[in-house]
Amino acid sequence: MGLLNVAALWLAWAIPALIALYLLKLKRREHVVPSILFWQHMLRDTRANAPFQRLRRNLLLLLQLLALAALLAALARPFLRTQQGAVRHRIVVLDATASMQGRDVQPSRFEAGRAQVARLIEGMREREELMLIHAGSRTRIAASFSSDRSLLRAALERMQVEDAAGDLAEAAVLAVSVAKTQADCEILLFSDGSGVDLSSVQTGGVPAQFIRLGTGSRNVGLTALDVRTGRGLDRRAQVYAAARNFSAEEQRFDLSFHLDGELVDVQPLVLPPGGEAGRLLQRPAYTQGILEVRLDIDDDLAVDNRAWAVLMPGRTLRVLLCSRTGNPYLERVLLLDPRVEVTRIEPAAYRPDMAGFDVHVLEGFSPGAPPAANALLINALVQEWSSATQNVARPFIVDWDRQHPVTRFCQFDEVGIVEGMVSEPPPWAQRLLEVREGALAWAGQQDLRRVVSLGFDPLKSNWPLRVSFIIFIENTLGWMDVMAQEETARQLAAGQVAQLRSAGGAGSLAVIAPDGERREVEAGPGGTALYADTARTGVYQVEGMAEPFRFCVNLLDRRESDIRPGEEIAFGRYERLEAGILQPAEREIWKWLVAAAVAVLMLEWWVYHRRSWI
Amino acid sequence: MPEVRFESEFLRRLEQLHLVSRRVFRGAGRGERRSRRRGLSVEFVDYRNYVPGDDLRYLDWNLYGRLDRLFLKLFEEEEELHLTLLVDTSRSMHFGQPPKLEHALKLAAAIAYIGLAGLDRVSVASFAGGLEHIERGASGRHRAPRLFRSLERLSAEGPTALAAAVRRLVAEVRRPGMLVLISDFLDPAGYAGPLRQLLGRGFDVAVLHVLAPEEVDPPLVGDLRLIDSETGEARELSMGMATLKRYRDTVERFGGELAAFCKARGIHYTRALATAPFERACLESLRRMGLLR
Repeated sequence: MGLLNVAALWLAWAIPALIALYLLKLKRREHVVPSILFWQHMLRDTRANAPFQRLRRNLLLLLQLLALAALLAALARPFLRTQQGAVRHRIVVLDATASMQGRDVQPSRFEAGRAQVARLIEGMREREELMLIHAGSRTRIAASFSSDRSLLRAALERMQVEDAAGDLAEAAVLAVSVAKTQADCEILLFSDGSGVDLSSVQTGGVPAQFIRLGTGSRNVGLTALDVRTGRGLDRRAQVYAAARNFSAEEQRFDLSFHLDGELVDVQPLVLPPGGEAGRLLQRPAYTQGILEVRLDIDDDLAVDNRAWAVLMPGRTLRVLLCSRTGNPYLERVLLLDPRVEVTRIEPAAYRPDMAGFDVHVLEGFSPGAPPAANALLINALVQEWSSATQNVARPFIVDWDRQHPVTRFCQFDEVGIVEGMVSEPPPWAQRLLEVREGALAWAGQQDLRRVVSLGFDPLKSNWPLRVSFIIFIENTLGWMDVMAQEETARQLAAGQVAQLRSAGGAGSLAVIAPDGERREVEAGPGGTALYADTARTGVYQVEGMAEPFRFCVNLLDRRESDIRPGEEIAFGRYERLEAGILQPAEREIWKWLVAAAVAVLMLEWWVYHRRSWI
Repeated sequence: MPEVRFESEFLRRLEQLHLVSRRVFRGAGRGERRSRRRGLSVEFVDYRNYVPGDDLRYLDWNLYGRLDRLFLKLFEEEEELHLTLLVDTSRSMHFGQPPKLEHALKLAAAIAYIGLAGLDRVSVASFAGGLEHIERGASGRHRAPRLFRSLERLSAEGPTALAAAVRRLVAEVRRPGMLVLISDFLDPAGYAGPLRQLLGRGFDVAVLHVLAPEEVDPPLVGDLRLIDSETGEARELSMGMATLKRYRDTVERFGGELAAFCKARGIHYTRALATAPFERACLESLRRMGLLR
C-alpha cells in the first residue's frame, strides 16, 4: 500500500474544517416542549452542549466525513503493491516491427502493448522515471527518462508500428547501456518475442522482463518477390513470388498478380504447415508498370500479404572489351548473354573515360587511370585501387566468398593457376578469392561504379574450362548491369534507405509515400539523396529526378512473417526471460474509493430525507 | 378556548354511573352515599353490644331471645359525597393535539357531571401558579351547564405550583371527601409532598395523569433547541434514535414511579392519554381507575 500523490494529503485539513463548520454552523430547530423535566436526566448524561458530544450521534456528519475521507484518499491515489517491486527507473522497449501488427490480439499486438505501457505510465509513482524506446527498423528513444506523465503519454501516442523488420537486440543494447548508468533500473520488453534473440547482448545483470504480446500464429506471408527483365532468349520479364505458411494448419488461398491495379494472373496455392511455394509470372519484354502480388487470405498479419515491384522493359548491356591476350573464352562467354553487346578495341586505343559503355572489361594491361564506368579488371592493375601487389607462383585458392553476387554458385576448389598477383583491395572492396598470400580477386563499389578485379590470367589456369568461369562472368555482368542496379534500387526492404539521384545535381527531391504524404529530401553534392522514411510498404514516387521514378518497399521477411509468439527470450549469454504479462506494480484503488464516496453520499442523502432514522 | 360540551347520549351514559369511594365520608346533608355514621336509614350494617342509654327501639329482640344477650342493630346513614376536582391549568397543559387541557377539562366535566347527577357535593378548582375555585359544593344535574361554561373559560397559563395549590385547598376545605387530581405532574417541585398532604387531610385521592401522545413519543429529530413552555428555559441537543429511546424510557419511568407512589398510598392512579375520541378515552380511563360503578 502506498500513495502516488502524497501532496493530496494536504487537503486533509478539509476534515477538521468540516467538523468546525458543523460546530459553528449547527442550526438547531427550536421546539417548545411542555417541560424540559424529562429531558434533564438525559441532558445530564449526554451533555449535549459539549462540542464533541454534539457531534457524537450525528449520523449525517459521520457520513459526510466518511465520504470526504474517501474522496481525499482517492485524490492521494493509493495503490496496492503486487508482484512487481518498485523501481526508480524503468526502460520500456516497445517492439514496433511488422510482426507487432498481428491481429491475434485486438486491435493489434502493438496497440495492446501501447495500452499496457499507458497503464504503466498512469501507475507511475512520485519520482519514478520512465524511458520509452521505439524498436522498429531503427531503434530510437521516444522519450528519455521522465516522470512527466503527459510528456510520456504524448511520446507513447507518437509511437507507430512499422511495416519493417527490425532487430530488438539493437534496442536491448541501447536499453542495457542506459540502464547501467542508472541505479535501480529495470528493462521491460514489450514484444511478441517471435524470432527475438538477445543472447548477444551484454546484460551486465540489469533486471529485465519480457512482456509477451500475441497469442496466435495463423499467418501466410510473401517471402520472395523477384523481378528479372530482359533475361533469357526471348527477353521476357519474369516475376517470381513465393509464399510460406507459418501457421500450424493447412492454408488454401490464391496468389494473384496485378499490373497497375489490373488483375493479370491468379494461382491457387495449398500450403501445409510450414510449407512454401513459389509461382512464376512471365510477361512480354516490353511490360512495364507496378506489379503487385497479393495473397488473398484473411490471416493475422496483413502486411506480408502484399508486395510490389516495378517492371521495366529490358535493355541492352553495352560491354567494352579491351584484351591484350585476346582471350577467346572470355569473348565467347560474354556473348553467351543475349542482352550483351560487345565492342572490341585494342589496348592502345583504350581511354579510361570512354563513354557509352556499361562495363569496361580490361584484360592483361593496366589503364593509367581508373575506368569511368563499371569495370572488370582481369590481370589488369589500376595503381590507384591496388596496393602491396605481390606476384605469387602457383597460388592455391584456400577460400572464396560464397555469398557475394559475383562468386555466388562458383566452385574454385578445382581451379589450378600457374601464376597470379595478390594485392590489398581498396577499402570499399571485398575480397572474393583468398590465397595464402592475400587476395587474388576482389569486388567493390565506389560511388555508383562497380569494380571486379581478378589477379591472374585465366589463360594461365584451367579455369576457362570450368563452369564456374561462365558463372563468374555472367554474375559479374549481372552485378554490373545498370538496369539490374536500378531494379535493385527500385525494390527495397521496409526500413531500408533509398538512394536517389537528383536530376540537376544538388537540389531537393520530393518523395510521395504510399499514404500520400509528401516529403522533401535534400540531395547532397553529386546529386545523391538518401531517403530513410521507408517504414511503410507500398509504392513510393519520387519527383525531381531525371525521369519519373518509383520504387517499392516490401516486407518479405520470414522472421517477421513468422508471428508465433516466443515463450522466452535469451537475454545475454546465460539469462532467459520467460514470457510474462505485465503485473502492474501498483494497482490503484482510487476508483473504488470514489465509488465508496458516491455510495456514502447517496446513503447520506437518503438518511437526510428519512430523518426518523437519525 | 377549550370546548367542554358533550353529546346527550354521552351524558345519559354518565348518569348511569356512580362514583365509588373506597372510604365513606361525613356529609352535611342526606344524600345517596353511605356514611360512616350509623343512623336511621333502612340499610342494616352491623350489631354492637348494648350499652345503657341506647335507643331501645333498635334492640334485636330475636337475638336476645336466642342468646340472652342484648345487641343493638346498627343501620347505615346515607349521606352526600363531597367531590373535589382539582385541574391543572399550567402552561404545559396546552401541549398536544388536542391539548391536554381540553382533555383534562372534559374529564373533570364528565366526573363532575356524574357527581352532580348522583347528588354529590361537587367542587371544582383549577391550579397553575395558584389555586382558583371554579365551583363550590354544587349538587344536582341543573348545575352542570354553568359548571361546563366555567370550565370552558379556563386556559393553560402560568407555571405549575401544585404544592401551593394543595396547601391552600387543604386549609380551606371543611369536609374532605373524594378528590380527583387531574394533571400532567410536570412540576419541578415534584408531586410527593402535595399528595401526602391531601392524604393527611383525609381525602380519598384519585390521580388522573394526563399525557399527550406527542409527549410520550415525540416526533423530534435532528439538532434541536428545546424550550420549556412554562419557564422558557432552553436545552440544546441532537436527537438520535438512542436519545429518543432514552427519553421514552424516562417518561415511562416517571409514570411508573408516580403509579407506584399512588398504589403504595391507596391512591387511584390512571394514565389518561389525550386522544380522540374523548368519550371512549374518558370512560376507559375512569373505569380503569375503579372510580366508577
